[in-house]
Amino acid sequence: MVLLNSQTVNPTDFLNIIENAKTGYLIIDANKIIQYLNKSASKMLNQKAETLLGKHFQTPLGNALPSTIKIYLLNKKIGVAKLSQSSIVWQNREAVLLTIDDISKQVANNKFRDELIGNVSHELRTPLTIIRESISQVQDGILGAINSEQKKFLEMGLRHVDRLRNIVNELLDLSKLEAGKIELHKTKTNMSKIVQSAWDAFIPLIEKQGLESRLFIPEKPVFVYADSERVVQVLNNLIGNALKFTNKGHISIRMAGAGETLSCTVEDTGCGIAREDIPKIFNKFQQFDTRADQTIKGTGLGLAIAKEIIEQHLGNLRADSEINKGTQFTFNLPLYTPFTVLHDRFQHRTKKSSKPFIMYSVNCDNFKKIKSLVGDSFIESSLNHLKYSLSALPYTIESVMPEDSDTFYFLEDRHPGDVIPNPQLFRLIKQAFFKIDMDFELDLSYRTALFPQNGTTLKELLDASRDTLKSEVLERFEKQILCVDDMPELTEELKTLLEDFGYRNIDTVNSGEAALKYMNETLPDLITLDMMMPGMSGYEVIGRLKESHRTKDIPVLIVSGYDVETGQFNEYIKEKAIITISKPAKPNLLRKMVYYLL
Amino acid sequence: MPKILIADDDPDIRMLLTSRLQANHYEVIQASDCNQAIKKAYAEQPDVILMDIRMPSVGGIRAFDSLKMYARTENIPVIFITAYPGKEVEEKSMEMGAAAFLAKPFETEELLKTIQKVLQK
Repeated sequence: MVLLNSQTVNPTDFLNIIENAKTGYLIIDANKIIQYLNKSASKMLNQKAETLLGKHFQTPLGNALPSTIKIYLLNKKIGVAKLSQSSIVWQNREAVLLTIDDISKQVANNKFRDELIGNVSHELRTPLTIIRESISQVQDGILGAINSEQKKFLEMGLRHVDRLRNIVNELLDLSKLEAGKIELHKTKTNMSKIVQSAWDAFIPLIEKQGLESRLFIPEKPVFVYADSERVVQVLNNLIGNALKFTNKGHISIRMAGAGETLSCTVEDTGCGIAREDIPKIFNKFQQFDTRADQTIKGTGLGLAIAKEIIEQHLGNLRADSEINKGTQFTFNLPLYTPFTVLHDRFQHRTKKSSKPFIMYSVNCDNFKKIKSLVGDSFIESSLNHLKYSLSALPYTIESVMPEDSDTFYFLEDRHPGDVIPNPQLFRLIKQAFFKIDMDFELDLSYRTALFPQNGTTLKELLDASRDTLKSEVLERFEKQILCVDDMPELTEELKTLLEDFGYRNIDTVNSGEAALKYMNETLPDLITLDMMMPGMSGYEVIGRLKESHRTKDIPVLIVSGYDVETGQFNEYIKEKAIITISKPAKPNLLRKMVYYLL
Repeated sequence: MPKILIADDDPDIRMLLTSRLQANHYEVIQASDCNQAIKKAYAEQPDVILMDIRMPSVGGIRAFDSLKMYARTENIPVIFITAYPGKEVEEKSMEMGAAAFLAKPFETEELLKTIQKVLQK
């Protein structure tokens, strides 16, 4: 492929070389028009070359470039191919060479291997149980007395059964991790605490071995977004290894959080690893245990598992070592921020499927001010309440809550035809903060971006969302409000009040029938409703609204002189689309409730 | 002497468990399939049942469900033994109503302790 980048190659020669290649090739010019494709590409895409040539690149492959695509194999079966691109010069112009590599066989082999490992490890468990238990019963003298020499041999048998069991367990663990079958339970995790307690457990062992133990952790707690059990597993493995290979000097842990990353180094002054062996130590079943007199070896899988765990946390694990001087293992993990969580949720979403979804970033401009007014615990309980309400929604929302930042992130499954954020989402945010009576309003504004239309990576989505910034604060005053009351002077009074608050589009009607007629033509964003009206009552109006798909989600603010019996609208009220206030409406309460419902 | 029913289709496992439990002063009865397990549990009223559960198939689980259907057997604690270890399987077993959960290959100490704990309840 190096040749292609050179301008000296004659294009005709080049085409002759690649025309019959097994790999599929496409050349796309700067305008994304397909200029060339070879035989293999045409077969893999199951389209004749004539049909694709001169067409826009989107036609066969979609807008964004995925890393793998489905292809057609010779026997009409569906396979998998890896896509990669490189910049080339084509007819003296810049173009892109797209390479389609059939990886169906590798994918099938990997799948077969994973299944094999999984099945074999299950099949090994029953025989292992039987071997272990029979040796152990003879050793325990259940079947008659044994002499000390016999006992020694049986002990050896048991030790190795246990080692085999560990290998089986770790092999299964690793194959599940690699296949992505293990869900990591990531939460905000106090790394300082975890390192401290893992270390404390090892101190007696380190001292017993006559080694010095040194721990360096920052005074302030450092938080990461991680599965704490898994991180402990990694720490235990690294400290355990250090202990195994060190018989003089010290073992230390040094932890630091800098910028957006945590780094943690386990250092020993042990036997070290030869330079050429360092890249191999993370391979399965690599043992560099050259010590004599070792009765029990490790499984040879610990470091492979540790690396896999760290990488699934979007971090990395590396080793530096010098023979007879010592070894340092260092891993990095992203520090906990709303953005880390978002990135993780994003990966989680896109790894499994390419189903479209919307990313919202909802900005609360006065979040910090509110936080300073009401205190952290109130914010925390509001956020928990919001999380809880989100989990009850009929569609999947994954949320990332602000802590020190003032942005909430949401990933919501896209519904066909959805172009604006679901009003329910905003209602829920407001509701979460309105649980306790407060004298402030949230200044919410939002941005949206669609996956995969606007981008296929988080960065692309965030960039795209910057262009869609809309101010909800300003938009709110454009919303259409319909006031319904049989007394014209009351609707006028409400209208005046609402106009004082800044709302600009307010219509009034003076009967239930008129309200329904109005809604045949215009759908308001909010209705204020009197319950006791001659003719069609407020109850009937709500009933009719609920019947129609078009109107059932319109929030209703009941403004009524009597205690209102709302039992029959329980379900509606549960969604907090109805709120009751009594007449005469107090301006402050009215303002707050209208804000909340819109 | 507490009575233990071992329900497992593997004769070697039955033999080993019987020998170990008898050595620890338990009375042991055996069942080699689901029907036998239900019949013996009903007739002999053991204090604990050790049951092999193969998570992918329904065998052991169906027997377990049947035990829970009869008043005579529903309160007998059942310890699940499985070759499919893992947090999720364990959680699911406990959710179903298992008294305890043992993953193969288990250690003798673990087996005896688990039985004692279940008996004390």
